Amino acid sequence: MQRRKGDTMTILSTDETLAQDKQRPTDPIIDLDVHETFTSWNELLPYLKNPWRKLLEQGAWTPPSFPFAYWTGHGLNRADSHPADGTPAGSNFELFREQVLDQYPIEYAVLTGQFMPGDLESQYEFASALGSAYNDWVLEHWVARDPRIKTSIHVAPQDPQAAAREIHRLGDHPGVVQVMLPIGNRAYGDPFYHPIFEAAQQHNLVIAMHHADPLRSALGKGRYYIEWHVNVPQGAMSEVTSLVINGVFDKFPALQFTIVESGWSWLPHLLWRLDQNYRSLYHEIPWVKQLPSKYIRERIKFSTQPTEDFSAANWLRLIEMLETDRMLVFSTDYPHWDFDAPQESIPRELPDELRRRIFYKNARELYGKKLG
Amino acid sequence: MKYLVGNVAEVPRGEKRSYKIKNIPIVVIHSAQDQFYALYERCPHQGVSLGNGTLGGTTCATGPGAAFDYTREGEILRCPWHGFSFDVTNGACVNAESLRVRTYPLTIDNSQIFLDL
Repeated sequence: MQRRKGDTMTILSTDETLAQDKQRPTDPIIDLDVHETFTSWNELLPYLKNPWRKLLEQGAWTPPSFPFAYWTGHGLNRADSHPADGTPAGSNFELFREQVLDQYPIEYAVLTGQFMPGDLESQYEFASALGSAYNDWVLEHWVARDPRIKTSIHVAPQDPQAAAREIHRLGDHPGVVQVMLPIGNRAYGDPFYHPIFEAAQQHNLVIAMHHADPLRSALGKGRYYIEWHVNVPQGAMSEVTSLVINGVFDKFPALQFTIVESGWSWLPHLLWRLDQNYRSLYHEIPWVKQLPSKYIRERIKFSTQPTEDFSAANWLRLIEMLETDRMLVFSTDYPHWDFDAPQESIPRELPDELRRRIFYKNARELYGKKLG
Repeated sequence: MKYLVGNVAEVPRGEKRSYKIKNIPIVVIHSAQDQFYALYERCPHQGVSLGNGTLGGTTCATGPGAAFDYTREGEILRCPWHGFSFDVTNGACVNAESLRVRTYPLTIDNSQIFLDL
């Protein structure tokens, strides 16, 4: 664990740091990115109707798997997040409660899943059915177990009408705060996907976007995992650009967005570049009525993880470039290997009010009454 | 004080022409609506001559895939470098609130264009 002071870092032992954190009164935290999962696909069987249920029972479908070997020494997830019984990391609710909910002053944790129906590139009806089953499973096995847990509706955006039906089915459930769209190979600003936004806006749900396995960088998947992972923000940048250019913010004036797990240090560049291009080329997109940076500042929040370990001084420089402290929201990304511990990832040297904004206030404003 | 710029025949309707009055670069625009305007002739962005820009209109459409309309023909002057658009009626840079070119009052007297400085 690392502690920052100015541009320097002091290394504390994990025990030392956790002890300090436990002793210090801490403001509440909203964690926007927890990757829960099931122990096996068979857990979805009770939530599936035929013919979809039979496809799973008969082994007619091979679920997608990660296309990489992970070189962290312990795979995709934190070494200590693997349950003792050998079930997958993120599948044990009690372990998650111990390692996140009760470890930190979490007021709410927003589940984001690991399975994204949007990853299926064919048989959209099956993808939608799996998404619905997963949503029902999460509500029963996770959300119902702790009032601090909220979740995302997983949809198959490749079939926007079916996605809208799923949003209407669950959109007013008190445990649901957002719709999850995987960042991969679709630019969601395209009007083809607008039925999803229409439905989400109708239920006051946030649209969350999180990268998924189909994501490619501008040059492709890359030869190595580290190459793919470093380039993940390219997908987020492309989605933000797509939303602005296609006029989504004016068409859906009440809709709020969050970009999860793509970091945020690249944001000043994108804001400047969008504005610069808009001044010269707006004749091509006359439905965009104001500077792109204004839409983004007002309508999109960005989760801080992965925090990239830069200094407090650089945090402040970047936030000054953003011209607002309202864009950042905290997330842990539990149980993944690049998990961010709250007190270690967000520099202690940041002003108290800024830390409160990042840990809590901005997310509270994002979700509003959906958090109760 | 009024300064003679030239004859209206030098700036046909829908066109523009650059002048230098008291060493100040000026571009005179004769709009499609038969109105005359005068702007400072340097772009506030990177200083290029707006007299070499394009005089045209602006687009309207409600969203992607919708029908485009083209309006205000002859009232939007676009910079020859980066395409910034200036409203010739008030000098405002369209969609870039922080940029503006100075405008000058013009009078037409007996087919002569006079600039107030």
